[in-house]
Amino acid sequence: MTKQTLPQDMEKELAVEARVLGSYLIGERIDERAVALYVKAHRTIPFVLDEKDQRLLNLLLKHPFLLGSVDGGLALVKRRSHLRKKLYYLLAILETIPRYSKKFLSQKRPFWAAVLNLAFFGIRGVMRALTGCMLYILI
Amino acid sequence: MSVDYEYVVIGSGPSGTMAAQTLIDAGRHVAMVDVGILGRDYEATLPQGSYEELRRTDPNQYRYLLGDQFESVDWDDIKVGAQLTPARKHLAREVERLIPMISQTFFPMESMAYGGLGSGWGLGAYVYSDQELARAGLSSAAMRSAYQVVCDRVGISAGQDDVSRYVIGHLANTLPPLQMDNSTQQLYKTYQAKRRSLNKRGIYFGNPAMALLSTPFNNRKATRYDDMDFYTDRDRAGYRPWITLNVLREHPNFTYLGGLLALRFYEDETSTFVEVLNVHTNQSRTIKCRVLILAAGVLGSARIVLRSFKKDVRQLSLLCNPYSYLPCLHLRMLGTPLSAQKTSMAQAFMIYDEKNAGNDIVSMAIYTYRSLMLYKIIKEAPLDFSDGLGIFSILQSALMIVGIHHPDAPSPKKYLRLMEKADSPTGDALFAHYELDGTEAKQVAQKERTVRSIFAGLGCYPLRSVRPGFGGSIHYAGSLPFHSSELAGTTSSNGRLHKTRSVFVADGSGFNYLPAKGVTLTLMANAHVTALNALAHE
Ligand SMILES: Cc1cc2nc3c(=O)[nH]c(=O)nc-3n(C[C@H](O)[C@H](O)[C@H](O)COP(=O)(O)OP(=O)(O)OC[C@H]3O[C@@H](n4cnc5c(N)ncnc54)[C@H](O)[C@@H]3O)c2cc1C
Repeated sequence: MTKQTLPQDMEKELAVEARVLGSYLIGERIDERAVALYVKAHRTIPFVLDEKDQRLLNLLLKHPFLLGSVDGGLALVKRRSHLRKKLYYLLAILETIPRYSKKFLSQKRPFWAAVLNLAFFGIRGVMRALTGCMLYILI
Repeated sequence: MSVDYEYVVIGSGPSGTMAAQTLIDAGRHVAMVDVGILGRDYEATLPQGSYEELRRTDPNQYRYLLGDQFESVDWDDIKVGAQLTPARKHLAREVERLIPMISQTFFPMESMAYGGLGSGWGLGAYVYSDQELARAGLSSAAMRSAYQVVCDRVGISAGQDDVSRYVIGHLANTLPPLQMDNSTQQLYKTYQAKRRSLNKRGIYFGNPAMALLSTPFNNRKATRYDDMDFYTDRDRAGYRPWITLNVLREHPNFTYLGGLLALRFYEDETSTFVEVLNVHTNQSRTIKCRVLILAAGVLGSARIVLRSFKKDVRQLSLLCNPYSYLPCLHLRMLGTPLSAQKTSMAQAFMIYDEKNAGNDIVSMAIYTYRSLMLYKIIKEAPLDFSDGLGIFSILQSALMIVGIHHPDAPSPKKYLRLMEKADSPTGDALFAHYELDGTEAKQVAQKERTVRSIFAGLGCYPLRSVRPGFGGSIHYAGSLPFHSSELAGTTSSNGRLHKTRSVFVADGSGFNYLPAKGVTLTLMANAHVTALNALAHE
């Protein structure tokens, strides 16, 4: 059941969080509708960050450029981390925003362009995961 | 002696509704005992339009895609039912509370929904061959005509191609086949180029038989190919048991008793008594009838029988098709979007009949992936979400999901028992154990390897096999097997439960063998036959 409200400053923090995590996920400033849904999800779904996840989240809010690596590292070493759960819910929400539908529905492109794009995301994903694992150990 | 009802049918799934319709058609008075949970109505939130159009335009799509309470966004590991969309989420509601299951080895899906699991079934409607019917203990003459009755009630679209003899057999009056999408058509072309050598190896490819209308039928509309099948039954193009049930409820001889969980039954010289629990008030009461028809689903009927024969029957057998799915990459589709117009259901059907003898075939239902949304598969990749999105948005149109079913036969390692559980409303829980023996496990593994190589040979490259655990096929049978002698916990060939006078079993509990095909069309046909047998028994 939806909790009616969250404390106001908490909702504000969640909105800031949504904007940071969202622009990492889709590479642009996110729609305010997505922000509102992210806050709504926090009224409904439990997100329980352990101490280390909370420290990571604080770090990421200050240094968003680390998000890809931390996310990639967690995908390898702590798949069910609730920090990733937050990203996952936001990803689901973004998928339902019409403005971003192009990013989620397959687009026509030449075969070679598809292969090149796959290679780019694949290589970047592996690099991010490796640096993320190191970061995770260090933090 | 007066009874409350002439016939009582327990369960509103495909089995129960078909049995009830046959009894009503024969002029009998029927009451249906059912829990009957209804879904949240997302219909009102759903504008007209295809999945792709809605994705591009509807600002409120999160409501029916994710759910108002985000109930469809599942963070846990993949389990049976994880794919249920908000409109179908009610299928799993109240199951853990009302009919708990204890098992380390068996993870079935059951439902207390109005229309049972049939409110979310994938509509794959396949006949069993005479050989398969005989192994299951079913009469092929009776079943052939029953298949036709059911086909004429529900409407089945199917092709005339290499798999027809496996999927529709002797059925007449089928509707034209459903359109395949572009990825599946491409795969079909590759198959046709290699057809002779594949057929020699026992591999056949063609249209699935689907209880989804390709043309209008019985006041129902044809599919719009809008790829919204997981989100709405708006046009009733797909057959759902509640379609029949809603019509039956208008009939003066039919009474629907919702909110009731049947616990057990007993008989005296003239009547049968069913003890039921009101799931809202927790009050129990007894309903008196002349004939009782059990159609609570194989696991549901097992619970009722185990409670009713507590002293004489402690353990029942169990059948379930071993199941896995194989995501594959159909590389030719890279860079080409899927057809805008498609159904969300199985696009094609494949048979692996190793010895070309129709024995122990393996079946494969082929799906393409779009309307279950991308975020669900991105989660499964060991990658950061942003690169996962980049990769899967490109791979999506090339992704094919092959659902592989294997046949199942009884063994001492597959069984059900009732256990005490004080905190459940019935005071008990069903315990299940399911394990393949060495030979069975070897066969499954070997056939899966062959399936992988078949798909690779068609240019559709398998990624890892996903095994949702035993029970994941959602095809169950064999708990009250057909038996020629009057043995408690078994069923006679006409569907009467042994050691009872007037209790009949209309779901799949009697089957002695479970071929590797969707079981539901056969469940419905068997329910019709059982109802006829009950009438003949009067
Ligand atoms: C997602 C999904 C996809 C599927 N795809 C296919 C497919 O493509 N092809 C295919 O052949 N099959 C498919 N199936 C399986 C199919 O749904 C089942 O085989 C079928 O519904 C079984 O019918 P049934 O009537 O025997 O039992 P159920 O559908 O389980 O119905 C049992 C009914 O009994 C009621 N009940 C149970 N216990 C009690 C009790 N104690 N008291 C009162 N009522 C009770 C329940 O509420 C329910 O209404 C699929 C299932 C799912 C969930």
